[in-house]
Amino acid sequence: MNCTVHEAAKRLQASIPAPPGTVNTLVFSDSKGQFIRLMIEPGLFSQLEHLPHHYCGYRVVPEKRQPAHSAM
Amino acid sequence: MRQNAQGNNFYSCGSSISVGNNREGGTLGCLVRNAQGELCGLSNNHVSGSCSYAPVGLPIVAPGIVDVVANGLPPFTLGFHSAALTLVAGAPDNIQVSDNLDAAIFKIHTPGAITSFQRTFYDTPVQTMPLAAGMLVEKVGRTTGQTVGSVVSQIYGPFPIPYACHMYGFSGPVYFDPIFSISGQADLFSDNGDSGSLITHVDAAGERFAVGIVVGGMTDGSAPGGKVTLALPIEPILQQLNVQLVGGHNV
Repeated sequence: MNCTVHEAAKRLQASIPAPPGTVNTLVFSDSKGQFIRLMIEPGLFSQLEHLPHHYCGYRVVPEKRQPAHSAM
Repeated sequence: MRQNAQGNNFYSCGSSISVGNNREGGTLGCLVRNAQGELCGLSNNHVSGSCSYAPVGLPIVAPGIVDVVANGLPPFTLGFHSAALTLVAGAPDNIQVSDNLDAAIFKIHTPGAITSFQRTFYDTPVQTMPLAAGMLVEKVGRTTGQTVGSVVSQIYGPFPIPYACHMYGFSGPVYFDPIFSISGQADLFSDNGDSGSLITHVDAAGERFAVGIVVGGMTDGSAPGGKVTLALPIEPILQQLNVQLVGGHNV
């Protein structure tokens, strides 16, 4: 691993060939350690091919991005 | 309301507010002082600025209209909408996402009626620090009250939050970058109505710092309560509004 998990998450987000605003990453932890969640706009999820499952030595878990809402 | 040692009652930060012309409810995050030395309230643009559609001078009321109930606190004018930061809908291809900061201020009508205390829990800190992953944080809000959580991570890449202000015919996703995800410790860190809550952090020396502001939430089955909070860093907001945090006011 030649970068921190946060650096890796940032680089991975920038490397995905998708329109801006459709893909996000964040760092998460489970019993196996830190990993990168790759959140993809649902409509795009099936169109992206060869989604990574490892990046810079870190696990990557692709998922459909859940809807957000303003908190009011 | 919070009562001080002299028995005087004050409307407190962390409590319900809304624009006076719509049935809504968000949170008064904190008090700030503008460059002219005037005392202002700080919340989200989508709470006290109607997503940039509120005219300057629009009354901001407390409690928020949605919280006005029989035999409850009679609503009163807390202040008047003064300024809002950029909140522009549109794809990141077309707009400057980093300009989007969901915050607005309103001039306090009667400074003697309000306190900088966050309900009954702690005073608003006047110092700030950057929001960062792993940070233990706390907030006081209209819906979930005082809660503790931790910053999961920055969400990398422009992230959309849908907004709507139906009385002005506005709706659409607004993208933010940077934005952070916060998970509650045992339950939700925030929920609907907590928008505008000031997020604070207490460092190893016991000093409290303002670090962020609640703007939204996202479904997340892995988080306590099934949702994470979406938060913006407070420092760029204070800089853009050219205001300073106020503590020690009627405490």
